[in-house]
Amino acid sequence: MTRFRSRGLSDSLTRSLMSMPALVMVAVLITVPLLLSFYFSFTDWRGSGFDANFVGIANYTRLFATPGFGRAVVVTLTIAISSTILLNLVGLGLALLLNRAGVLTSLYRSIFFLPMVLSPLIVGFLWRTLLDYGGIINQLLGSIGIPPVEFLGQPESALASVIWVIVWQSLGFNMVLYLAGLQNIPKSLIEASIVDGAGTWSTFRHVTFPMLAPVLTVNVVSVFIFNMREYDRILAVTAGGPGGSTQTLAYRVVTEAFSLGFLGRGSAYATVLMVSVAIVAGVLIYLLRRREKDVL
Amino acid sequence: MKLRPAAAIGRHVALFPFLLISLVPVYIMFISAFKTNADIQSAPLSIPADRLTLDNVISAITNPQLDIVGSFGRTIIITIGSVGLALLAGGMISYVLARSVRRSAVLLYVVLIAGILIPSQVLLIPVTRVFQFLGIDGTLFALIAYLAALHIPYVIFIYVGFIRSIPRELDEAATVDGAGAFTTYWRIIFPVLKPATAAIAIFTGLSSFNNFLDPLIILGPSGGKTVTTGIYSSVGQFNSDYGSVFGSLLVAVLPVMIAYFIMQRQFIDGLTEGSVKG
Repeated sequence: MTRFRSRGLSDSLTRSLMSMPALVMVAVLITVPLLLSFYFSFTDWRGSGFDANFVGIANYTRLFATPGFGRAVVVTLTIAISSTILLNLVGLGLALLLNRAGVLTSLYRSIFFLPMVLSPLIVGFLWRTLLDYGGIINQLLGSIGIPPVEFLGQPESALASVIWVIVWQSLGFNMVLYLAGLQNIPKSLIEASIVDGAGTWSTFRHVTFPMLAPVLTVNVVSVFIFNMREYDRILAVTAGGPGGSTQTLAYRVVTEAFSLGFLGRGSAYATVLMVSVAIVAGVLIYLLRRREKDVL
Repeated sequence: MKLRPAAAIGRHVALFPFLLISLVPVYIMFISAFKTNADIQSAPLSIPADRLTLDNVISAITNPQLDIVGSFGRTIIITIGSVGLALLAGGMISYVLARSVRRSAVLLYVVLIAGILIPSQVLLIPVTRVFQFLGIDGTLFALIAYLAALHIPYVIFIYVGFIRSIPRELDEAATVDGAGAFTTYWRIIFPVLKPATAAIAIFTGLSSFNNFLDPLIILGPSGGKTVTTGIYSSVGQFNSDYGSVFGSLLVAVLPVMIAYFIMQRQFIDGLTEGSVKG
């Protein structure tokens, strides 16, 4: 064995070298940018050269004073919270229906999952076209006597439309996760509960739902975190409008930095987004993991 | 348990509206791509067999804004490049982390997979600066490296879990034969990781293929278009020529849809692997 070793590199050096490519990529393309983003948020950087002047917390005070910021926070949370609730409620409901749909289960599963593999931007454009004032949805509503709706023209309905598109696209994903969770519950547990005289609802409430606790954690955390960064579908469906009413924090980052050229201010938005995501992730994971221990 | 036919029928009745909501928009995109604007407006759901047209699809394919050949070519290079690089670099470090019992390795693992939480928008502003500094801004290589770096935390998350379930005796047998860690990983461990590799490739591949904002910003106006940025420039502005919009969207999603219909199970398992593991 020593004979082979002496010819090659030492084991610990080999292992360090094997880790190197990933560490360098993460350091240069994730860690350094993350720190730079934090640094730039305290500068007036406009993007030409390195002429970034330190301006202290000016970007943040300015940020908190603009109505656009508060609105972006509210829109971000509205989208994240409502899509989390809807995707989990409907996803679980569909999974319960599908769990015993027999031979058709996998067909249904494939159909519900389809939108998930499409590009969010393209799904957004598809729905923008369908929801357009003169578009197909209004055409179909008209044929059953319902007057046209301004889905994308009013702030509230535009926000609801964005949430609808997110739910439409991601539903299959959450449904499949719940379905996998349901199929992992031992049949004997459910049968025992029914033998004990528990009804369908009572079995669900006291056996099935508690057993799904780990799946619920994953579903809630992943949907919440990923929808906090929503950008593509908003751009495609409403382009942030009308009147900025569907702009999220992630949307503001891109607009401030790349459309308006205020890289310092964009970085301040980015820092707020990053900190909010970290806090939400931490709190959600802590609470839901604790809940898992309580119910299981 | 006995299956009650009434309950079974009830299930299908309850599922039916959701099935329609999932399918009808896709159906409308498909048929409208082959209809005239007049037919789309007057009878959105019907298929007028005698008036179908290829004009929408042809204009999408020949649209220089969409640049179909170039944009698909670039997107495929970016997808294969970023997935390959992430699997290569992420796989080796996963092996090292999974086989180390040191506290520092555990800590590094936790820090690395926390990277899954970071939204790309947070990194995009400074990362363009980093690429300028490296002299590779606006290149496909820069985009490939960035996407691979974004994939690495996820790759590590899946691989480390998987490698830990492989008995160490397998490594030790290779070590006795004189193989170092590098050889052991590539010859012995990597082949066993095939299901994990497939799941990661599908997840990261779709995410690279469908990505929009990263190529838009990193490639910039002169770096060439991908499928999504091409679609953005061709149908991005409000457009009431529905036929041509549906034609462009169909051309853009068709390859992914065909792949999905051939390998539904792999797609579904691949995309949910990380969450089922979690």
